[in-house]
Amino acid sequence: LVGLDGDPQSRQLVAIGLYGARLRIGTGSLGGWDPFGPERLITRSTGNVLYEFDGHSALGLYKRYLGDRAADLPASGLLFPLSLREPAGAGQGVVRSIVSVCEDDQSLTFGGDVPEGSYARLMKANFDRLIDGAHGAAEESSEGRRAGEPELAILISCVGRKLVLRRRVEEEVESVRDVLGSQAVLSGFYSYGEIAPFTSVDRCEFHNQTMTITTLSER
Amino acid sequence: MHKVLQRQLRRFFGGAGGVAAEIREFVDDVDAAYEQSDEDRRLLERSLELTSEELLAVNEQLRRDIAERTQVSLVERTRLEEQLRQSQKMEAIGRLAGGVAHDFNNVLTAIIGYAEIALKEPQASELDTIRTCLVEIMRGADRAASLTRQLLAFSRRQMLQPQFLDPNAAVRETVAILRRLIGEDICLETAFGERLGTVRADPGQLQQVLLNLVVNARDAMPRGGTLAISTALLHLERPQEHDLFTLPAGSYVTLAVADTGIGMSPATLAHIFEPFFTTKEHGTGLGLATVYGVVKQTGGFVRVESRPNEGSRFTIYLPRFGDAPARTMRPSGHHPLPFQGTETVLLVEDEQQVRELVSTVLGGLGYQVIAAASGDEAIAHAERHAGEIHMLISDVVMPGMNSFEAAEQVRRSHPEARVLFISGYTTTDALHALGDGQALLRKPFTPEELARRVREVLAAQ
Repeated sequence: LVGLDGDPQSRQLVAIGLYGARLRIGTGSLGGWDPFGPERLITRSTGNVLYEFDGHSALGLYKRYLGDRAADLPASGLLFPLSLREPAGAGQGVVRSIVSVCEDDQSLTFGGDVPEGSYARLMKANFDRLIDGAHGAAEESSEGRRAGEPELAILISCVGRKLVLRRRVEEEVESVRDVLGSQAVLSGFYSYGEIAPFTSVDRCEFHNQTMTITTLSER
Repeated sequence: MHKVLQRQLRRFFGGAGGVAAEIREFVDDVDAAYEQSDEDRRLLERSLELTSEELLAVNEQLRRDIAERTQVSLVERTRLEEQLRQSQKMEAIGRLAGGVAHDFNNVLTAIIGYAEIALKEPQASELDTIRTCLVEIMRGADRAASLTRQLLAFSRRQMLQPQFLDPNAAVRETVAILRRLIGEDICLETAFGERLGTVRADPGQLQQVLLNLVVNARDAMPRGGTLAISTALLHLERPQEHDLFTLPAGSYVTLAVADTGIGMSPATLAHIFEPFFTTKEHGTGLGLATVYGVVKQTGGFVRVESRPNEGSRFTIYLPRFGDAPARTMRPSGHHPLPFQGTETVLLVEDEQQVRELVSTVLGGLGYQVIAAASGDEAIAHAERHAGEIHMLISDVVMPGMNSFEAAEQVRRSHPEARVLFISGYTTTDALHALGDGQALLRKPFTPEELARRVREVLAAQ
């Protein structure tokens, strides 16, 4: 729910514009997840609801990989986000993570669209790789900065990362602090998705499972 | 507590109990990190194990798919090969049937012509004439029987028997058939060497070789041209080097087929004797492979000279066998007609049967006959023919161009040509137009009468 000068409501978006000759903004967004295993063709899906890979139940595949942890679905599904590649697309794909499952129709609902005909690979990560991801995002966000050290950094981390990092989730923030410096005020929250360019030359995409950082400073 | 941490605490602090209270929280954090790390590792190991299983299964499926496709493509390939063999067989049969049809046409024309002449013979007492006709009919029937034997031999893939042959006679016999094959816009020239001796070859196969070369030459001249067939004697004191072979020293009879057609590029030349290599839309690529095979079996060599747009020349070298008794492809047992000759005769006759009859009779006597169905065609042949035309035999009454006018035009390009008119009419205005000095042979005539009259006209001063 979002509100602006009034009661918070659903299906609203609030945009805040910051501008000025002295304003310096940097961004960085990285996950730290690595795709593994065979590439799978999405043979049945609707919007962000996935039913089948290669003609087989997608939920069945997740349960097999999760083993005992399948009981913790949908939360445990965040352990295996999907890397999506469009049929003709090469290059870096987008990452999608599970937000809910439905046993009735054996479907998985993701934090973004999973179009039919796309190719998907399961992704994996461990503690170290995710901390490295947060570190990389911080470096990326500070590279875009022309002068001065960031005074404010907004950290948006995917809730899926918290599931892997668990008790040591603060280390993610600490690794960002190591890069941005003690002068930066760190703020932020856990999200169900992040909108950002992967690098400063990419266009904005909707991601899951990343640490996405925006740095602000005045010269 | 994690086992690793337990061992470490035992080593450094004598066990978990020895850990000071102020660092107990730190130890708990380390323990949690160990546990989490283990859990991460187990999840990854499990994931990799499952992935390996999946990839193995996919691999196995791919292997099965490839094996299946290979099997399918093998079956398909076998089927296509069978189809190819079948189509090659069909084309070979088609070509053979075509050749046989031409031969049979000639034979039947002769049989019909002579039978007609015999039937029209008003005097039953003219036994000699009838007998001559019957002999020719028998000869035709013999040749037809020989064709049938060859056809049977072909269909049963029998090896035919090599014989000692007079190469010139063998070529002449075939040339009579070839004329029909090559079309009217191609001028056929022949030149026969003397004292060639004999070669040892299968007459049918030799005929096939010549036929294949002539068909190729014809196909190379879609806009007409000159096809030259020649024989010659070649004696080599020492081996002669050629591009693709060395001709050992010795005596050879050469048989050359040359055309003025489109010629061949070096790339094409490199492959022409390979089975199934063809540049023709509907070719089997077996023609020259057959030529090569037959010539090699006969102990000979084939040489090709060709350049794009400059025509082609195939020369076959067959070992010469001295002057051993030779037989020609002509069936024995019948007396050859007298009054033989080797001159070139241009024949104009619109009636096909008569044209065939005269061609066959004169061809059989050794004359080189250029046959034309009209005055226009005769003039065209005369203009293209580079060699001498010794004689023009022309029907008097024909549709189209007037026969006298045609004769005059032929003599313009070949003033050496003697003229003999033939006519089935006894009283026509056209005949009256014949001058006193003009030679005329009235139809019906026997082959012997024709032969005698031709010799008389050629001998006249």
